[in-house]
Amino acid sequence: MNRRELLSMIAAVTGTAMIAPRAGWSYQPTEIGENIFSPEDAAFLDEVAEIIIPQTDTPGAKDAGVGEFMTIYVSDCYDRAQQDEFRDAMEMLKTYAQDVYGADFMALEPNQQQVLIEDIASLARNQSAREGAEPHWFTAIHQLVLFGFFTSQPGATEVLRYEAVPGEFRDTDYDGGPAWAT
Amino acid sequence: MADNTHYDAIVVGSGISGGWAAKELTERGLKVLMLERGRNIEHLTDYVNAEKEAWDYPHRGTATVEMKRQHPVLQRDYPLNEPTNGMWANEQDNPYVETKRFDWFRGYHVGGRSLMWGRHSYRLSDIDFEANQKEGIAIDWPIRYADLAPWYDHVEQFAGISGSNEGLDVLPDGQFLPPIPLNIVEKDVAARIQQAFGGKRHLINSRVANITEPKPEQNRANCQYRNKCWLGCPYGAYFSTQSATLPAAMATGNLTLRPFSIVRQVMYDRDAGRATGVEIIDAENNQTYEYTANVVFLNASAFNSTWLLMNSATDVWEGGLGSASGELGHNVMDHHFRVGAEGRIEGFDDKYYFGRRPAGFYVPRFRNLDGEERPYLRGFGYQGSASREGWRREIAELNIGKDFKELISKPGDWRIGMTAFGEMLPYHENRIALSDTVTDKWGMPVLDISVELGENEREMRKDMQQDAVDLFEAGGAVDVRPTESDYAPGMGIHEMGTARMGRDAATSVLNGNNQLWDAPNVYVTDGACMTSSSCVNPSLTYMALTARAAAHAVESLKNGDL
Repeated sequence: MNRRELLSMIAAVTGTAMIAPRAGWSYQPTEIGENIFSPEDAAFLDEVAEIIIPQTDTPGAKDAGVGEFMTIYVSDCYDRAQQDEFRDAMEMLKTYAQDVYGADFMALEPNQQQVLIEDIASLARNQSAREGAEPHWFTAIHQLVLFGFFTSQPGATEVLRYEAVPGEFRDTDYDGGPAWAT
Repeated sequence: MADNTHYDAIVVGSGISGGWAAKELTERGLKVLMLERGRNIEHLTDYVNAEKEAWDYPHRGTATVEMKRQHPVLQRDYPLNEPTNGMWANEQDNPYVETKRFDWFRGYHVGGRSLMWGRHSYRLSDIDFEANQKEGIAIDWPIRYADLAPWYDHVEQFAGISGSNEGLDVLPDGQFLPPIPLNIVEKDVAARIQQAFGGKRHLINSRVANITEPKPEQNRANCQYRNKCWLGCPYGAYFSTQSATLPAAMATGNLTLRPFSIVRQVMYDRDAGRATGVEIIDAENNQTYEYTANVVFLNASAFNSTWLLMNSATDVWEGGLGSASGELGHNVMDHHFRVGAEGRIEGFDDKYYFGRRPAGFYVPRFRNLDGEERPYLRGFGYQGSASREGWRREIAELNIGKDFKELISKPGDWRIGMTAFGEMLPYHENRIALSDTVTDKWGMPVLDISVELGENEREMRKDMQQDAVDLFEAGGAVDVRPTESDYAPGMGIHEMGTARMGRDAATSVLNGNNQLWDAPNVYVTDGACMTSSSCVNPSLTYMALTARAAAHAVESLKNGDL
């Protein structure tokens, strides 16, 4: 069967390439609960995320809405203790900005924000390298930024590579390009 | 209330084995009623998540706290996730008791777990069928490989199993479609293992129920390498009730499918020594209905078929229909797993791949063969794969910025990993029973489960781990480390053995044709019937046993034996 025949058969079987959602769900859509964060929190997380994954010639964290995603994710998927820990991490970051620059993180110049996050990341690296040490508070933010970004559409399809329907599996030479999203 | 309709056969359950019973019985001309306790799921149109991508889910696939609250058992492992939410039994309506921890993952809907199964499909061999007798464990299987071989052929050809013929005694060859390919690293490791162990250990293609060539006669296209099988495939490329057996059964015009039908008991005529039909509760209106039939097939899943027997003919046997031997509900088995190894592969940084396979490689059992005697009985196989790391590898590194983004957007090292699936012996004391105290939403007593691994399994797990390390080191991997995570019985989702087949009514529940000794017109052909567990994934064997039993039932009806 060649590709044309295959596609025409698939069209015949499925009716259409995309299956529209129906009234009677077989899989249950996941409810989004109450967002325990404010729009200001989301904007703050967006700024932090953009420093970790900046826009270059490809989209960055802000383009992917990572800040807002983080607020939804923490609200719905973290238990109370994890939520408290996450909020503490946000406060630690804000306090750090006050301690170093005597100013609100959001009011800092981009290069000041950059230096600040680099300092914190460096401290976190040192701590995580120590045997048996508790993970640094910055780790929780850093991990969720990467997860939120690389599972977003811009992250997965414009920064990484994604092929919705590969149709085959084969070995290839590596071309130096981005990794597969999944 | 009594329903006027009489059927030639009733099939209880619509999962892998129930679908096969319906197909085989209807194609042989019987009028069949298939009962399913849960809702219907239509092929294709109800696979509402099948075309979704990670970013289409609000939590990108992660289970929410609310989902975990609703699924206290399911949340113990990967099956609770956002894409498959709603595809598992409602734990509030359907509780059970864990006298000892047992992770019971149930699919209560048309198609059952055939929609979410792992699809690995291997034949048992005579090494499996003869083991109990040779070692004096439990009881002998009443059948041998030759009894089942033509039925393996039959179900493989229809279901569509991709794989490679290898000529191994321990893992008989079959009627395969071309295999899902190994990648270049897996092929290299396979060649090194072959060399290092003198052809005694093998890393081969997985044998899976994903078709690699289209089946136009079944309206099924070949695998598109999306690796989203558990969401229902828009191409019908993996075997499920919906994609394969149900349409075939429907096409005969002989099948009636009744969802929302919880079978409460098999009705039994003690004078005739025969079942007369079943009584159900309609889960939508809570009314009771009776249906009569000449033959009843129980395919409600290992534990639920057994539960149903325990609730039937209790005026004759206190322990229920099929309990006379004292073995009903006993000898629970699963496959114990979640132990293995992983490592890094060097020398292939200029290689990559295209497509997402639904399966990787398989390492067939090699222990306790050809006279070898390890400090335990039986053996284990491995499932695994090699791939290049993605962005997740850098999570611990805590770098930031443009260069970091550039770096983690590229593929990382090649990694290889595998986990062992070990055979579990049938122990009488591993059992399910009806609870005295807890009932379900419909007032029926629920199951109380008490299962644990024995010394044989604990001893085997040492080899399962060390052999994985040795195989990878021989295969050329570096930085090889053993892996182990928490295993509890049930996590293999291969529960079986609670109504075992045997040669003697005094020690078994079913005969060699899967008929109840005490009611020969009742066939049990799901995992309940297993006399031993082998170490291979069991579903293909349930398919073959079901097709064989269906042929026997139809023949017996014709001959007037039933």
